[in-house]
Amino acid sequence: MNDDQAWFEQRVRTLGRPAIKYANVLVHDMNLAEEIVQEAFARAWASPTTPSVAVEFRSYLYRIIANLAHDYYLRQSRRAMLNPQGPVLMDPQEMAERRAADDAMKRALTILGLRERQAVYLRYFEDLSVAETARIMGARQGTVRVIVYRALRKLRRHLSTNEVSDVVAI
Amino acid sequence: MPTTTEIEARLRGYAEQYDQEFPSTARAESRTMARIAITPRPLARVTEPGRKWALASVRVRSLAIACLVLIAVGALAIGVSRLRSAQRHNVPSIGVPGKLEVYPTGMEFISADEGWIAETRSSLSLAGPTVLFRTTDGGLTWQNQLTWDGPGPSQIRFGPDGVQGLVVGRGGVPLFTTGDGGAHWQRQQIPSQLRSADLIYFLDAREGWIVGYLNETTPGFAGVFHTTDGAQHWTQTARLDVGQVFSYGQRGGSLQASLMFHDSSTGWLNPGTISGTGIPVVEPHLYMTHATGRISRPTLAEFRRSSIVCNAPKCSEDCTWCVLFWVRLFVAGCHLYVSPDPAQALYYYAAVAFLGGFSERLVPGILRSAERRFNSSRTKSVESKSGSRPAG
Repeated sequence: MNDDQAWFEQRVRTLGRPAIKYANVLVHDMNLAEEIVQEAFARAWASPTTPSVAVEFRSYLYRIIANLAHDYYLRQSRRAMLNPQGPVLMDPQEMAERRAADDAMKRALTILGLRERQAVYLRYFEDLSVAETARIMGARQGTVRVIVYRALRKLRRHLSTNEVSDVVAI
Repeated sequence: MPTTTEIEARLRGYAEQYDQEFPSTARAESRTMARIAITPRPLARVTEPGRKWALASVRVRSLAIACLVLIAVGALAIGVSRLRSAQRHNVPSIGVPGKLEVYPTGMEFISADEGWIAETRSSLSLAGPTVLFRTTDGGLTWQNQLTWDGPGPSQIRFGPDGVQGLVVGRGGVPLFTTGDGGAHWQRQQIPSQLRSADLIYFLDAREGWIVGYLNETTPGFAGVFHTTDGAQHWTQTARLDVGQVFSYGQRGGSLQASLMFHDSSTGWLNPGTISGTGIPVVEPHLYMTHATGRISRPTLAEFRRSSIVCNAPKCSEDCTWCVLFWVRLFVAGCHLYVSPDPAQALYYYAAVAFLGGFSERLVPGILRSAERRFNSSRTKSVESKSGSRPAG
């Protein structure tokens, strides 16, 4: 194994898990999140412009992940337009398991848009500063603050309206 | 409703829970490394921290160069377009009817070499803008001297030395005067007693008359004003009852007429007639300023008034040279008519507008001698630049 590959494996070992967690928040699918992260690492490896500094590498990787998640949603929406289907009926057992695992917050996070999910994850899951979040998202700090504010407002409304009335019969 | 702080606390709590319950990613990382092992790596991998920015700057530089090239090409295209436009403006040219082209709308030559031509850019209405050009080499080269947004002038007058000059506007365009051969122009005002300038005629660059409705509470009266200093000062010389003078006292008289002066004391006023409007048609007639009044002129009875497209030919006093524009339109042209009475020393100049109407002007001079002594070589140079052709 040459130096490059060793250096890159170190990045994979360090950032693999947080990257998959990040991707999972964005797409809400563990298998898809793993695929996206694998693809993101492969692209970073194949690109001559990949930064070598750890912090910048993470920003670069997270941006690839966000772009791939965006592409995924784009494909999903196009597919939905081509094959319109009715609402997906959730298996009650699966529903119960999910509720037991993460309660209302997990569902509340699904109502957020992609950019909002990115911002919320980076700010509250990875405890990044606004500046770091902005750098990873490729946005200005003011924009990030607005996105986070709107995301929190959405979460507040959703949680306040659904926690009282949301009773799922199993 | 929970507060924002509570939501943030819950988010952080959920993040901890999310982290604790998140399954192992060791297998995913192994799969990633396996994929990396079979993925070709780029030849120039970035290893030093500053290299990324070096590569980025290369891209930015390339992008900037591409943008600069695009801007340069755009600027070049615009420049060429403007240059062509400027060249077009510096060379008067006669256009094609029905298209947005230019038409000669005024002409004044003080010698075979030096003269001015006005051309108006428009399709049918000749609404402008109008550009005044000057030539000092018989039409070989032209200089753009004055541009105004309006129809072509009714007159261009210059003194024999080509220094004092004026342009008489049409359709509300004011007078312009120059005292340096057209290098600089001043806008002159009409007399304050007039509401509008309906008829203007200048004998030369200094002496002229203007007829318009007076600013009076009683409507229907026109004033005639005279200037001898190139429209600097005006003196009222007459007050006309428009209904009487322009319509035999009939209803519908208006200041639609043509005004012309032969010299400082003799002039003609030719009231226009309008058909198809319910207003009685009046036979064409002339008024002379110094003689017995109305003069019958039956030779013009066949003509109907319309806008003048062509301009009267300009000939020297001794008739050694003459310049005439011939506008080639659909069914139009400029025609010269010899006066039936040679003693009047007048010939009639009629311009057939492309809309089918006729218009006529009277030009002092002896046409036959002018025809005989026509200097074709000089006019050819005008023709070559303007697209016109000499008469005869």
